[in-house]
Amino acid sequence: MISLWHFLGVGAILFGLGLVGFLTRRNLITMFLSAEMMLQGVVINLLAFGSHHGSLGGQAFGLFIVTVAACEAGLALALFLMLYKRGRSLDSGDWQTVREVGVPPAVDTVPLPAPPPDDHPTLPVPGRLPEQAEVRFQEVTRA
Amino acid sequence: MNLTVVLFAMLAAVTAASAVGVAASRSVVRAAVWLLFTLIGVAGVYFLLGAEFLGAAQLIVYVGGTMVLMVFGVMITNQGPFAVLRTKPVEWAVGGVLAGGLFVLLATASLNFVSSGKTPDDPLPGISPIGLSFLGVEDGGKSYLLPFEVVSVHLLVVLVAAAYLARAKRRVNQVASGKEQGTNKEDTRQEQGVTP
Repeated sequence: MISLWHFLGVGAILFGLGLVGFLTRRNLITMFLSAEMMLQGVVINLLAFGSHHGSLGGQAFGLFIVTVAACEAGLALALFLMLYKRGRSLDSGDWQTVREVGVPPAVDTVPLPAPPPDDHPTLPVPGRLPEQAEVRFQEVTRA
Repeated sequence: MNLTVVLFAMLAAVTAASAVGVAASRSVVRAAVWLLFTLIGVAGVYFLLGAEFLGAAQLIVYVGGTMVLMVFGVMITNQGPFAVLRTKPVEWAVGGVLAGGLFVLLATASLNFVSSGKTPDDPLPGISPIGLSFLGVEDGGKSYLLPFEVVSVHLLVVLVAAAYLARAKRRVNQVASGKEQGTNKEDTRQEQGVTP
């Protein structure tokens, strides 16, 4: 028989894994995805308690949370796009100018590895075209 | 074996496995796709909990709207040299210990809680009491009219703010843009030239 504990367990698993993802990542989008997962765990808890007590409060709170999370997603994406346009990076460590006054900047103890060099594709050395292709090309241009 | 038990086991397994995928995947795109399956599994859990409307809203809003938005954001911004995430073992250790401790705390707390609890046999009332309480018709329940209105105005404000933030605008300081013009001339020109 499924009891309240099972649902709370699923919520706790979601919250814990979201916390792991939030703490270990530096990409803003991945941190945002993990925060969404934590919100889902919270909503599962609310719904489980609501159905446990037979009240509608859990569902109402869940609907509000889903609405606010949708707002948050739209606003966060707009902010990510703006930050990416300005700095070409979504590393959360790159935006230390928006920290609070009096807080020292966080410095990496181990510096990040240098970005790999761009390997743009190089065109092959142009040679003579085969004769067949030249003939076709002339036909097309005449027509 | 009850059907509900089987369904719950399947949904919980799908949800937890794809949540592990979100936390462990190194590519942002793969994390987003894993989160998609997590959200679908969570919507199934909502259905099991008797919240059909919330489950359907979750499927529509999250899976249909938010995740498409996220995938678009990933596609636009995922061009840098660090497109693949790298996490140091120390960070894994710190995050894992913190989250593991929190999980153990929550699990033990809920185990203690359920020992004195019961599971209700009567199903929850349907959707119409929720709608009535959202619209302030107090039919023996609580009225959520004020939070409902606040949330609707909040949605409107967020919509306007997101459109304002993400609009194409002219660069203010030319120094910052001139630094990038050697590398990304195409993108800088696009950003500058959209607004007349």
